[in-house]
Amino acid sequence: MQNYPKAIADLIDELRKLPGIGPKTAQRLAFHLVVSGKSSIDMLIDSLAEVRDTIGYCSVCGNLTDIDPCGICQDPKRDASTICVVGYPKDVLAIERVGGYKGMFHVLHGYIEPLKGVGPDDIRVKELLARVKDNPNKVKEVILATNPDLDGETTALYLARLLKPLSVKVTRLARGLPFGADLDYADEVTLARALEGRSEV
Amino acid sequence: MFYQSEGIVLDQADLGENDKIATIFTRQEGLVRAVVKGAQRPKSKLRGLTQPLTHGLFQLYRGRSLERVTQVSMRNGFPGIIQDYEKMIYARYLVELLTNVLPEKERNRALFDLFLAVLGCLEQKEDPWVVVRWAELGILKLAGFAPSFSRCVSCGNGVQESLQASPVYFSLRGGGALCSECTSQVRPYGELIQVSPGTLRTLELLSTAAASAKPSPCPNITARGQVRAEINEVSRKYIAFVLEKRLKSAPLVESIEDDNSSK
Repeated sequence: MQNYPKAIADLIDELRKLPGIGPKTAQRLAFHLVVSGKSSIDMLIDSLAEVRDTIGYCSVCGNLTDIDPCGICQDPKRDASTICVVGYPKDVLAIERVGGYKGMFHVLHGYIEPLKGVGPDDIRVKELLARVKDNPNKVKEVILATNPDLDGETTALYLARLLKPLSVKVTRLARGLPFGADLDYADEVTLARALEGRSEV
Repeated sequence: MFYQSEGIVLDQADLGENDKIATIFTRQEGLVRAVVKGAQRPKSKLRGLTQPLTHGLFQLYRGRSLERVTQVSMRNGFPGIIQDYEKMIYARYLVELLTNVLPEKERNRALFDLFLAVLGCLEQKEDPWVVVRWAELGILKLAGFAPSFSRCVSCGNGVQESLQASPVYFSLRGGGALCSECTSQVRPYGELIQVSPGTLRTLELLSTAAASAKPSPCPNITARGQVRAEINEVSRKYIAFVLEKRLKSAPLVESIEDDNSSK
């Protein structure tokens, strides 16, 4: 870094660690902050500190939350008989955005990745099993909403193996063509999956 | 420069925020690492086609450092493997073994044909166990680590003759069976694993099947109980010895095998 005051150089270095931020953008953000004045910097510091101090994981579903159990797990209007299993907290948001799902969630915090040495014990599988086992009459359906790639699929197959003997309904999100897509442009893998998972109308 | 090659995608990882990098085992060029532009974007057409365990015809562009995937026409996505947890773990494990013994950009058509046959067998066979042990021996052999099961690695005498008399051992450092006479000079051969005659015979059969020239038919061998457990031990320890490390997917494979044997 050429001739920056050390504090600014440090700030640029920190900003560069964020996703989607390259050296140029980091520099732009840093200069913006420096000239934006004390109060807006204080606001940023406060909200960072608040995130650091208040945000944790829900002890039930594993989602990010500022209260424990989280808002979704506490909500009496939600259907506790359905658990939707997702890989990461951001997937909870994706499904919540749909608005149509009224059940519970379970965040695994990762997928089984054999080539990285990540096994079932490294993600929140035990917690999911405990949730299903401890409420035998309550949980009726587990929806496996893991990513439709190889690792997500491996994880879903593994969970299905463990869950089926517990006499709950285990379902998997449909795979296939995105809405509004053009059949002609779909790749073979997706189209094959769509054919496989076709449903009666 | 563009070129085309038949290949199997072995693994895929994110590259920056838009692209992925796929490790492809190609028939013409061996192991190739190729960038798949835009594969992290939802609209990408190449994303599905470069998922691991996709067999197809790849059009690649040779750039200055890395190759780039430009087109893929898929031949087989091995749905029979992808829909079965055990087979999937086994397949990923074999991929890890393969990438550990195969240098980058070194053509190895025999190994390519073997690996393709292995995936086919893994998909078809009811019991993936035998396919995996057969595949391991085949991969090790073509990579130059073939263990010897019929002849003593020390004196070269046939081991089968001495079988009846006394126990036989498998030497990790020697890379094969030791006859009872040579076992007395244990010292130079490091860790020994005692194996039963049945185990040695099964391993010998598997290794012959792995050595047979293409097209490789699926091995029609089976083993149970004690023999299976001993073969597992030899394979686990020998592979860890040859690679000088444990494969990352090995614990998952072992947990499947231990689960199955306790059933």
